[in-house]
Formats: sequence, structure tokens, C-alpha cells
Amino acid sequence: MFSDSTPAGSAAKGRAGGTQPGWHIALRILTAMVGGYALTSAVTIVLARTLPGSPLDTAMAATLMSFGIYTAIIVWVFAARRILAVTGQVLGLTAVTGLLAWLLRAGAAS
Amino acid sequence: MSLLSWLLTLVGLFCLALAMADHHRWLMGHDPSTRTQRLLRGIGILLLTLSWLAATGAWGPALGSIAWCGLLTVAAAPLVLARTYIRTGRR
Amino acid sequence: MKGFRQTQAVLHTWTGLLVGWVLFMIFLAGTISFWREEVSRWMRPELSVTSAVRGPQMEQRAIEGALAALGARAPNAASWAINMPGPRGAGTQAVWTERTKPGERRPFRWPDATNSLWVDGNGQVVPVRETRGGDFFYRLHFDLHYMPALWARWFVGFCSMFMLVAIVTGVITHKKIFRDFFTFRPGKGQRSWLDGHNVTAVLALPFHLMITYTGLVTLMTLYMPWGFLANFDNTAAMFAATQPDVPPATYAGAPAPLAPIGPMLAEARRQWGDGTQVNIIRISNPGDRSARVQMGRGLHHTIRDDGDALIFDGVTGALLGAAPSGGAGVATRDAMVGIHAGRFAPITVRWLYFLSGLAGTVMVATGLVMWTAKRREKLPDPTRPHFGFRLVERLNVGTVAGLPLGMVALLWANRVLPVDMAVRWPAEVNSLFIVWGLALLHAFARPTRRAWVEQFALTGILLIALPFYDQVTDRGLWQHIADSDATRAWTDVTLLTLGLSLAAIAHRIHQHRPAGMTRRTRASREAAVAVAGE
Repeated sequence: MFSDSTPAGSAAKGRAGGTQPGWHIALRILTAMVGGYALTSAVTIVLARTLPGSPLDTAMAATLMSFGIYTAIIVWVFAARRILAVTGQVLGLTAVTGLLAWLLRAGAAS
Repeated sequence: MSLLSWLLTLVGLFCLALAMADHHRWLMGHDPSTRTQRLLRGIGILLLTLSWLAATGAWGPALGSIAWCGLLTVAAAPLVLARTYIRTGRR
Repeated sequence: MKGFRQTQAVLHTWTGLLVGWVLFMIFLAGTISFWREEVSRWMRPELSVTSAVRGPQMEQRAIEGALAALGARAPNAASWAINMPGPRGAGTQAVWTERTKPGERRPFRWPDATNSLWVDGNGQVVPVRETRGGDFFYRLHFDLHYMPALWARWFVGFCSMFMLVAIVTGVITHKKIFRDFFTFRPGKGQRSWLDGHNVTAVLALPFHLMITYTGLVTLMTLYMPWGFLANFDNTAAMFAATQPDVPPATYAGAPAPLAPIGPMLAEARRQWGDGTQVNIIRISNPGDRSARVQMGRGLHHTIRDDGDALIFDGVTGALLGAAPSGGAGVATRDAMVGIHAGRFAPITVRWLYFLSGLAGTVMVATGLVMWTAKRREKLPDPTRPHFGFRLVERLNVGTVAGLPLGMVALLWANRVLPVDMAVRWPAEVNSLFIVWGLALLHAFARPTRRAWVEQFALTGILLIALPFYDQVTDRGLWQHIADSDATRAWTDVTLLTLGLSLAAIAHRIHQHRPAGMTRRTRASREAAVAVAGE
């Protein structure tokens, strides 16, 4: 259940089989934390703008959900088999939702 | 009502524990049959539901639900201690 | 699936270790904060049970007394604030902020002897030692200390997010925890630690999940402002949308007497509903034509943690505006914050909160100790562990045993420091961190097992001695019982119980004869509590 003493070694062993270079773990952590936060923020903005209700209510509701969304993304990134693929997916999703968020914001401003 | 809720939780968790092979062997000396297991689990869940109803009856739905979470802990603790320190000689 | 569960295990172990020590402090301080009002009462022994505020008449008398005292002491203040005691507290605190020159910014200060005073149930000023009381533990829980609150909150939020991930991955990793439910096997080294960690985690799992998630929600506008910024120009505009729509008054410089508070209080009770208490009254520009009176309702009546602010004109006494009632989103947020802080909780539920919080504290502590227990058996040479291992082992002692010792030192400082000492509350708080620092040094200087025993024993003895010290020097348990002061009496009983438990734990660790060299330091209060009945 638990692995041995060095973080890099144990994390690498956690992958399905063979060892992986250290930057894979670094990238995974970066994707989970930074990428996850960016994607969560974009999703929260989209939700805040699209949920029914007053601006205050929808913003509250969206933000309440955001911590669950963030957790799910982190678990997903660490569960994924191929790190480069999941980094790409997170970045791609962030770009799409971010664009949607920006369009919704621009639509509201005009 | 709160005492009733706690007692229902206690008995409910006890039934759920007995539905597990390990704990059933500890108390009864043999593995439970699938039917017994299913029956105990059903009773356990029913009792836990009743204890939740009792808690919400005593404290209202919101506060009652939180109190029920706490009661689960307070009811499970004696079961853990009993399971740990009472020897039935039937391990 | 095996690979997946293994990565989750790794994530759980390392996220847990990284933030474990801070989480231990957050959990412990938060657990104590459920008794915030009780701790405040204990730390201000000058305020007896007769200073409690019960019913509208007493409430008005206390507020009028506070206003009179403020008018005499700080007539030219920029603002006054009156903090009312909750249903379990005593004493009304009156705080003032001096007027600054235009453009000058005065740094924020906690209420101390130079900017606040106390009035009792009859509205008379009483001298009270300068202390932060239970508020210190409450603030420590999310603002930490010695650092800007904003940094601290980001750090605490970071740790809470780790905690949330650790809970979710813990459940995923250890599907066995549900099979091992109700199982605790003491005296089996690493296995016992795992059992202890699982039992405390699973027994209170709904609580842990709830308290972590709602904890993040309490500061969500800081951690996740983007949803709000999508709908508002800035977070200040968002905050304004939850408050009464009354433009701020500018200081006129023209004297005008404050309207009587009685009718305003009556109106507030009408707005909030009968039986509601006032929690806080803020008066800006008192004695000026531009005076405003803002009232927040007590949070002890409903689960919604929202003050439902009301703003009155300070000169005419007319109600100018009330906080808008929000929709489902706002109500959910208020309820989640309410559930987290438990301000509404009656005494039975409060005990459940406290016990669940203790279970969480124990869960973090056993998790930390498990990290070393797990690795000790794999060390190449157990008598000479590598630096990282020793570091974790010693930090575990210095935190799990050292922090409670520091907290007890704070309680002692509250009793032994001169009552009229200047700059008193910072001295109290410093004593916590000085003793905690010494405990850390001690943990590094002594053999690990001795360090556990000595620190737990000292903490236990100091806790047990507190009620006796009170009994000898001031009013003690007998007087509290004679006064039917349930709060103070139960506080003393709780201090004694905690002290005896810690002493018993120290005794068990001392008595414990390890099975082999490799398991020398099976020592923590949790396991010892559990094995106490063996």
C-alpha cells in the first residue's frame, strides 16, 4: 500500500511497471496543482455565468462546487497512465473552457 | 430522542459489523451464511435510517444530520473497543 | 486498477506528510475553538457568571452601559464596537478606534487594554486582564501567528486542499478500511498504527469530509475568486451585494447626540424575529451628525452563519437598510459556514463536534507517526537512521506532543503573568511559541521515546495543576459549583480529564516494552489511549 522512502522512487514505481524520469513526476504535480487550478477556475467562471439565479447566487453556487471539481481533477491527473497525454488534456480543456468563459464575460459586458 | 438515536445507531452499527465475516466469527464462532449476512445488513441500514430520523426529530433536519454524523462516531467507538478487548475465545 | 490504487497511495502518503504538522495544529486549534466562549470565560476569570447576558432587558442594560463607558473614555473615536457575549459567554466588550488624520492609515490592532474595556451584566465597567481568550485559538486555526493573515490563509487553504485530496485518496487507496471497520489490533507495531489511523479516519469520515470542505468554503472568496469576478467588478462589489444598500457616511464635524439605543434594539429584534440576540454593534462617527449604527444578529439561533446586518441612522434612530435576503446559493454558503463553525450547536451537539475534532487530530497524529513506523523496519541500520527519518521522527514529537505543551503554557501564562501588565496578551501568546520551540529542541536533544514520555507527562501535570492553582489562589471548582456556574465547573473537569489522559498516555509509553529494537518508539497518545484499557 505504501511505498518506500524516496518520493521520486516511490512515485515512479507507482506507475504501471517500469521506472520513469524525474521530470514526469514534476510535470504530474505541476499539471495537478497549477493546471488543475486553472481548469477549475475556468469551469467556475462558466458555471457562475450559466447557472440560473441572481449573479451573487450563481457565483456562490459555482464557487461552492469548485473545490470538489479541483479535487476530482487532481485525482484524475494522478490516476492517468500517460502523463504527457493527461497534461495535454488538462491544457486543452482549460483552453476550451477558458475561451468559453471569456466569450460569456464578453457577451455580458456588451 | 438523542439517546434513542444513539442507541439505534449503536445497534445498527452492531448489525453491520456482525454482517462482516471477521466480526461474526469473533462473536459466533462461525462464518455467517449469505442470508444471515444480507439480513443483518438490511436490519443495520434500517436501524441507521431510523436513528437518523430520530436525530432529525430531536434537532431538526440540518442540525440533526450533523449530530447524526457525530453520533455515528460516538456509537462506533465502544464497538471498536469491545471488539478489541473482549475476548470470546472463538477467534 | 492496481496501478491506480498505488499512485493514490503514494499521493496520500506524501501529501499527508508534507502538510501533516500544520494540519495537526489546524485541527487541534479548531477543535479547541468549538469551546471558544468557554476558553474566553476561563481566561477572563474577572467576569463571573453574573456578567452573562440573558434576555432583552439585560441585553439593553449591558449595551447602554457599554455606550456610556465608551462616551466617557473615547468620545472622539472614529468608531465604536460592542461585542456581546454569546449564550455561553460572559461580559460585554467595548472597543474603540481613534480617529486618524486624513491619509494616515493605522494598522489593525486586536482589542487590548488601550483600546477596549469590559462591562458586566449591569453595565458597570469591570477591570479584566488583557488576553485574547478563546479568540486566539480561533484565529490560530486559520490566521496562524507572527505572519500576515493573508499569507497564513493561503497556506492554510493549501493544506486544506491537500487534506481534501488525502481524504479522497485515502478512501480510494485503502478500500480495506471498510473491511477492517471496527478493528483495532494494539501491540502490533506498524499494524496498530495503521488500525489507529483507519479507525479515527473512518469513524469520523463524514465529519472529516464535511469539516475540510466547509473549511475551504469559509474562505472561498480568497481561494477561488474567479466565479465572483465573472459576475462582479471586484470582490468588494460582491461583498457589498450581501450588505445593506446604504452609502457610507462621511464625517461631518458637527456634533449631534446619539439616538437612544432601546428603540433601535427593539426594531432589530422585530426584523430578526423574537428571541434573537445581538452579536455585534458598530457605531461609526459616534457623536457626529453622520453617525451610523450597524447591528449584526447573534449566530446561535439558526444554522445560517450570516449576521443579517441592519444599518440605522445614529442621530434619528431610523432604520436605513437591511441586508438583502439571498437565494439558494447564498443560503447554501451560509449553511456550510454555519456547519463548519458550529456556532448554533447546542451543548450535546457541541460535544459531538469536539469529539469528532479530537478524532481528526488523532487521525493526523497517527498518520504522521505511521510514516516513521512504516519505514523503521526497512531501515538498513535501525540504530543509525538516515537524516530524513530522524528529522520526521523528531518533528513528530515536537509537534504532536510539543504543541499541546505550548498551549498549556499559554493557559499558565494567563494565570501567572501580572494582571495589570502592559502589553499582556502578546506575552501570553509568545509563551506558547517559546515553550513550543523549547519542546522542539528537547525532541531533538533526547532519545525519541524519552521525549514523548517527558513532554506528554509535563503537559498532563501542568493541565491537572491548573484547577488546583485556581482553587488555591482564586475561585476554584468548589466556588463554581456553589455559584452553579456550569461552564466554569465543566471547564475545570475537562482540564483535569485531559491532563489525566495525557499523564496516563505518558505512563503507558514509559511502561511499554518494545518487542524489538526496531520498534522502539511506539508512542503517541492515541494508541496509548486505546490500549489504556488493555
